[in-house]
Amino acid sequence: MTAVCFLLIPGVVWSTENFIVNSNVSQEISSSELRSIFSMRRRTWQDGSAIHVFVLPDQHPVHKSFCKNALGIFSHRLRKTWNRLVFTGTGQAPIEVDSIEEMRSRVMNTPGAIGYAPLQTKDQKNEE
Amino acid sequence: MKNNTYLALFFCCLSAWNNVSADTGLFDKAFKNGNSQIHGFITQGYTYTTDNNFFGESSDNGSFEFTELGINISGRLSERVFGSAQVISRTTGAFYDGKPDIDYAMLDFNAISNENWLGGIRVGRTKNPYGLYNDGRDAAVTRNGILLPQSIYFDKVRNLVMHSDGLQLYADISMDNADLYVQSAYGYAEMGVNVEHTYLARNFPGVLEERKPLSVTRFIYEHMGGLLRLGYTKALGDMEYEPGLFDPISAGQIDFDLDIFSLEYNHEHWSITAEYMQQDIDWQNLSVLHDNNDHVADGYYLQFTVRPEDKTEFFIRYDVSHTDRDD
Repeated sequence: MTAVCFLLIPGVVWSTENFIVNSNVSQEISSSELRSIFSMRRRTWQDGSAIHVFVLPDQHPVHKSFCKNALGIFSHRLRKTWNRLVFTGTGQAPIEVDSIEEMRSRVMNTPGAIGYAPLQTKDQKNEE
Repeated sequence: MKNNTYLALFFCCLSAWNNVSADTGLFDKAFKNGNSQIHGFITQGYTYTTDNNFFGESSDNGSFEFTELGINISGRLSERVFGSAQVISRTTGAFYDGKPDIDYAMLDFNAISNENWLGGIRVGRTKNPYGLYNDGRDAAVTRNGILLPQSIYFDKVRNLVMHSDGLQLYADISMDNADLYVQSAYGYAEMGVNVEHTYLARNFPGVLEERKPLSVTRFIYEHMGGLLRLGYTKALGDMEYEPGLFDPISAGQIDFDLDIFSLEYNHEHWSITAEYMQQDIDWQNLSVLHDNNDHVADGYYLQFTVRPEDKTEFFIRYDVSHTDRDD
């Protein structure tokens, strides 16, 4: 089961808690930690287990909105940060998924995973 | 050259970046946690200059002697240990002949990891944290242009600043809206004919070597993930010259003390970047011509970049360097 945090409504400013994590992640995540995690600088949770970061493609509107409003970073800046880590040997790129459905599935099934997605309505949850 | 203003008029760079993220059984055997990645890049450039040649015979009909290939691998070996390595091949006129070279190969031990601090040590061959762009200079996607500003990232001494064999301490300090990244490298860099030519004005019969490891420390303050970036770099080098047969100059030392101040503002669709470098160079005992001829070299650039969409950038840059500031 995935712990889903907050609602994304187009046009509404995201809060910093608009992310989803795998059920085995129990720590609270501050805004600075969220930025550090999605910048791929932080590799482990506080219990030492590996963080697996999932993202949508750079041009996906949900990705751009999450970057700008939840992280406070333009998506092109985040891509430059990932590139710099990858090509200096100091970090890795996040795992890219193609759709929100794949995002939910991968986060739900990967221990230590974190991603982002619109909060589902009660009806949408009941359909699953 | 005492006052160089680079007049590269026309560059065409085709950069293809092949990004493969691998999480296969093959790497599960090699890396305990099965969390490995492979990435690579290919770059082909064309250079045309009005006067001085750069990367081949660029002042005639232009030159295609600018090809870069790279491949890297990385993996999490345990909770706290991360390994990575990159091999590159670079063909750039007389500077590099395309021979593959290990760009970096290191183990990263993450000693501290809590809400506000990350810190550890990297051992092996690491990229030197010099200015905003040196550590990513080898891949086109991590440079701020096809060529880096030569006032700060002079390609002739690329060997000296590119990487060093030793250790690197690092610390990331996270605050509510900002981060401070500190890296300090201490190790032996590559020397060579190009470095000798830069510091001695020409290639003498002897050899210029490092007397002590190179020390490079950088602080980068980033507000909101890079909206504003402020940086300071201090580099200290201590070299000695071993004369050769019938050498016109004698054994001596060349020390340098270098500072770089960096600023970058990144809006959604445009960026401004400025860096200033000052290098105190101290010659001792080399010869009558070189003794008591300590001098200060400096340089700076200002770049304005426009980004109509995320994958396309246009920029204009003003780049100045002085071999001797007082000349």
